[in-house]
Amino acid sequence: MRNFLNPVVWAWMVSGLLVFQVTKALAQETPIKAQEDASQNSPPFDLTDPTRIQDGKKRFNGNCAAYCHGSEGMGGKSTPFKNYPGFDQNYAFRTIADGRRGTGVMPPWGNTLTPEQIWELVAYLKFLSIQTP
Amino acid sequence: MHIEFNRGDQLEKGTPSPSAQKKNALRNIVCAAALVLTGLQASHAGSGPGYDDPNNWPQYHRSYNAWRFSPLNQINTSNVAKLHVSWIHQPGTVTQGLQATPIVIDGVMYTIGPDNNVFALDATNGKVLWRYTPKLDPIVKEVFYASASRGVTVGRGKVFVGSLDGRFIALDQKSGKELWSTQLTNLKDEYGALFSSPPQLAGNILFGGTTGGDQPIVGKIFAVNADTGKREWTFEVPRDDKKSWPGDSRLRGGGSAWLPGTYDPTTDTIYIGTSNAAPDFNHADRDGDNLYTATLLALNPKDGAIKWHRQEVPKDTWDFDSSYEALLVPDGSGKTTLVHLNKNGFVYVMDKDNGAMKNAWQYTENMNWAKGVDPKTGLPIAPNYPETGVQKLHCPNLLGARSWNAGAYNPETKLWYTQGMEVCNTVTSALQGQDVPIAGLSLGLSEITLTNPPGKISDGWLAAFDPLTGKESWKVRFEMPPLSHVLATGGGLVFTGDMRGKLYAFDAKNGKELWTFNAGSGARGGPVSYSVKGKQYIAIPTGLGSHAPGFLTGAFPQIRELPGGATLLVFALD
Repeated sequence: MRNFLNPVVWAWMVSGLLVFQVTKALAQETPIKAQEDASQNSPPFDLTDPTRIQDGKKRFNGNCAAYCHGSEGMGGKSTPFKNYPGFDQNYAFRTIADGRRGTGVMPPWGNTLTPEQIWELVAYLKFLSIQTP
Repeated sequence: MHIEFNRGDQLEKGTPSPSAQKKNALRNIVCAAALVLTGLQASHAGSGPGYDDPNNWPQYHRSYNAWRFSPLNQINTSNVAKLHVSWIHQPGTVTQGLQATPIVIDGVMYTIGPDNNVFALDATNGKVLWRYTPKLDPIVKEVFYASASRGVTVGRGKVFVGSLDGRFIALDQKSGKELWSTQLTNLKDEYGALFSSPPQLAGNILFGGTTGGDQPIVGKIFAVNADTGKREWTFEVPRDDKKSWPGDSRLRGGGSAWLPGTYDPTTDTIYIGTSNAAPDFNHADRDGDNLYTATLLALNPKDGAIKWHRQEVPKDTWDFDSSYEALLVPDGSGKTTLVHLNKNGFVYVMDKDNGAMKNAWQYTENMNWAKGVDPKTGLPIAPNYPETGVQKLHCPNLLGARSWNAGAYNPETKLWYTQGMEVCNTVTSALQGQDVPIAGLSLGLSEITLTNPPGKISDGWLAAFDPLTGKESWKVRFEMPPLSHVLATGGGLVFTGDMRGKLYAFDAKNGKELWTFNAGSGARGGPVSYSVKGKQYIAIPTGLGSHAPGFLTGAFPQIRELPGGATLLVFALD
């Protein structure tokens, strides 16, 4: 009983539950690695900034659209990017940075794009998520 | 799916007439007698190239003429309906599905699954005889063309692998133990240039090219000594020529050779096609003909010297590779002619010894990038080039009139069975920036969208053509383009599979559907046929992979719901 009330034990239990939930959520297509740092959780600029969205769009069209996600993210095997109410900006950042590997492959971009460049992609994806297909 | 009836090739319908019934009865008696005479042997007719070594599938296209034809006829039009699963092999990894064409020699199947896992299997029951898993450089997880391989090559007592980390590797054929490994590319500096296809043998020379046609590299074809792994020669696809490549554009010109070539031992010639130039859709920086991209090469295996070449798309700006199979077929006058499909939707019929044009014919139904191809010069007529900042509609789309899945030729019907996709794309060409990441592509565009052909709905097909003239004998339409290689057999059958995982056997004469099987995941590899101890098998790799299905979702949203997988299915009659 004393252990049950111990805040350290609680912290372990909560973190264990979190790990379980994240693992479960990502089980089907698991990011190759997870780098937890400040830039992953906090965009360094306003994601609704039109200039950033435009920069993200340009990079998306050059690197992500052809052969993979299609124009405006409406191709590919992932959820269509337009009209996507469940869009999660931190999950999007992590997926771009770490890649995915399941039945298909998305290479990780975390070693070749800066966190700022990845956040610009996230800004564009966030913009798409509220657009009508 | 529906069948188009062409030029009177209608399927038989209704009850046969009494005379036809008599004929059928007589035919059945003759067939039964033939079966008794041949016992349970998997028999075949014919001789010479394409018929050699009938019980095996010894190389990528089975024979050097790239026919993908098995002369075996134990499984044929009269009994294929009874075909059922004999055994199954699952490699245990599914990333990018199964894209290989298995090799079968003397009762042993050699094949490769995701992440370069190589297997030797008892071809009668799937028992694993050995397995090889390479220690790949971790950089392979950073690159675009990850995980997939189109096969292995077997010969000289070895199994040869082109690896995902840029090596040729030789394994002992009996044990699977690594004999040698030669590093040929530098993935870090060459944007992940790797071997997605098996290197091929030309005597004691092992040759092959890499990915990278869409990346800012100097694409190369490598050759090593097959017994030692010692490097013999390297062919740089972008020619060192300022007229062909102004400025330093050659250094970013792409030009890989990412599909297996073939080796014609009768003339000691390697045929291998090269990819598009990079940046794919913008030629502002490379305003020359960009040799030797989008070119079919005939090389001397000893030193890689060019015997002849034919550039099918000078200054390609549509992503129209020339990488597909070099089909060698009889020309009807006792000679052999080379037939070559380009992604651009035209078929080039050439003299196999010098590349001289004999004919050109339009393969795809929807075509607007050029008015045609001059059958004498082989050059495109009035090509409609992309322009920087201008959105244009191009047909075929960047994946081509057909993907890399090869057709099959049956010397008995003299027909070429091959597939197509009727999909276009809009492209807005743009200057290419310099900051291409390792997994990035040098495409030179600001927008690309798959779209329907004008006034039509995108779809796909399997057709039977006279390869010399393009005369169509029959065509079967598919809701989505089939991406499996095709197999033709001496039993008068044509095997393929679609993106949903439905496998088919068609009657080679008229396209009638004779057998289907639901594999559960799409077909992207190479169906093969072989015989062991008198029993014929049909092996079909399944498990939808590669980048093409993902990109095709833009035209076929239903692909998004299709599952991946990796299962090799082997069928037999009993």
